Amino acid sequence: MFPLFLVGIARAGRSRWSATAAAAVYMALLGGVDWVLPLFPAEARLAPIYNPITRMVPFCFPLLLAFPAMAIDSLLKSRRRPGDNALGVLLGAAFFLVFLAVQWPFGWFQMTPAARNWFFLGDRYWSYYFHPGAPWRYGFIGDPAGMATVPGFLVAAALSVVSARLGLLAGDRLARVRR
Amino acid sequence: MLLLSRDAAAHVGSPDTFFAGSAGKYPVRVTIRPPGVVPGLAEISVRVGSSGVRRVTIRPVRYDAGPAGAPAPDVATPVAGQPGLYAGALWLMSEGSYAIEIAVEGESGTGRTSVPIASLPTRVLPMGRGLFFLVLAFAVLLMAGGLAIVFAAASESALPPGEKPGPARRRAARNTTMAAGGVFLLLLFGESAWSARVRRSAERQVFRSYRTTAEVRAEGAVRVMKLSIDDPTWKGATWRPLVLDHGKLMHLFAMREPALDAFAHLHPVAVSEREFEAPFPSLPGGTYSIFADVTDETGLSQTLVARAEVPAAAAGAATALLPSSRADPDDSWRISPPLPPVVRQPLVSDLGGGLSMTWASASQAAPILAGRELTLRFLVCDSGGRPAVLEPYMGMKGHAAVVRDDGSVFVHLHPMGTVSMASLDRLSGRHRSDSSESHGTMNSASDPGGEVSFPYAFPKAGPYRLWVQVRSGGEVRTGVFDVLVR
Repeated sequence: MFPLFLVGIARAGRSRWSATAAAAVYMALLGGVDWVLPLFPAEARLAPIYNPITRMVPFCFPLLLAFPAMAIDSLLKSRRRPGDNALGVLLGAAFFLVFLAVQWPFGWFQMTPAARNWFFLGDRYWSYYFHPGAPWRYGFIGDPAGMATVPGFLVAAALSVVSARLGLLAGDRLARVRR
Repeated sequence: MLLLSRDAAAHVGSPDTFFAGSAGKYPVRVTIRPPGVVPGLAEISVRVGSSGVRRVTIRPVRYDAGPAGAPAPDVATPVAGQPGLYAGALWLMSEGSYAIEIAVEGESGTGRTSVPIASLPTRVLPMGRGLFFLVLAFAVLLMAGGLAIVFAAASESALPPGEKPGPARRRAARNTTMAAGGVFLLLLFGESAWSARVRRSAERQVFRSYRTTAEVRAEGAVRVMKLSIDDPTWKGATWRPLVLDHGKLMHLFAMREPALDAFAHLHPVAVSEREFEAPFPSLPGGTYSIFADVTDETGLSQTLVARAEVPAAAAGAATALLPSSRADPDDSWRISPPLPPVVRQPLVSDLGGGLSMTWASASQAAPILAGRELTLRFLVCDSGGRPAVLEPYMGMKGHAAVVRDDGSVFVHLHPMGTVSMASLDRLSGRHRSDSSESHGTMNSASDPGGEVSFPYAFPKAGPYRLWVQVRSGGEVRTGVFDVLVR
């Protein structure tokens, strides 16, 4: 889903950093909500309450989409212009690799004590119905969908390529819109 | 043939919980109608039997979260025109055993009590017609809007402002719109398949008590009933150990089909991981419906349902009062005339030993209505009409079993209502002392009043048979009553 939007916006956008700007807006909006919500006091009104909360519960920290978006922007606006199919492969692969390289280590960082603060929200987004003693609270437990495997990654990379190619098409259409 | 259904939690065909007890100094009667779906809203009504009440609050306490994991209580609102009656609704968010904690605040201070209930999916709610048409109307509106946007985008979006699209462009736009319509239809189709899948999954998750089979075999002159739980989930991940209720692991009620003329209340003991056995008393052979109440350590009660073919007793064994030394001393049974088409309900039942039991709260003049909350009150007298002395029978002043003639309703009642003592013990720990002794729990003292009563509402119309059991003179006595509920 993400490459479709990011590539589409980058292709149609007039600015050099359209996709990066869109991703940054997403991160700022979600982050803003995340940082503001816990300022309001709240109390759970439904049983069972395993995790007694006293403030609004934020979402988790926004995905680091700005980094793959930067890669997409640089590739699309580079001088060398391969055909759209090759470009789709290039963009999809770039999105996948950069996103993986940034988000995966960041995920590990999120589980460390260093992330347990108001900014990174490492321990703040557990809702009232989560067991505070659950083993996955501070660690990565298993992989129920079986996605974090080599075939899983290959599928994700292939989907990124398809999504990026569709993004190019959508971007072309979007660029032609005149009213 | 009785309809033996496992689609029930504690009790069969009678999902509501009735409780009579006290919250501190206030006598209360509580009725809880579970939603039958999870999550769902349970309707709670509390009738306080004394005046000077300022407010009544209710809150749900799940067994594993405890009072610390319960939300702030909701205030139950007084019901207009019915002094002393308070009503409210609480969300039960997850499956399992809950206690509804009731606090009454007033002139006599604050009194609390807890009523255990099971939050279980027992049905799948259909979509109402009104909601169906509303959703359909929104879907049509949404799709029409979507097609209009597609057509506008395809025909005009790439043209300079003000320029009209030519015929070729309009034709191409129409084709694009038709293709989009096809995509929308595919989406609709997918959605319908998805919702059917969700529905099937919900139907699979409907709670059923453990699948159980029963058989009776002859061991010499003694017949032994064996109940086997052969459900794959027994001892599975969701399984919890059973706990004692009135000192017994299992309360088993057997009634002969179809006339309900023979009745036994037995207490099988575990002979293996999944098998329970009890000697079968001196009752005639035939097909028996079996209802066995068990409670697990979370306080969740359920009724196991089975059917057993009982062979006729061997000659000479029929006169034996206790069929075996393995029999539980609290086992009891009774033979009575077949359940006739109930026209006039007999209001007096002979208990033997010169005792008789009168259904004091019923009268020929006033029919009993389905859904109406009642206090079923019984009076035990000796031959001279004096109230008999009632002794505790398994810690209670009395036990009652209620069965509809087709087996679609079975409930095991105590003076404090439909809840099991074991559930109360598990779930209402600190309020237990508040649940007054005078409301049916008896530990050692005898009661000379000769009276026992049960709060209940018959869930639907039809003929019912009631077996009311008390202990007097050291023996368990069973009164039998028939009633036609309208």
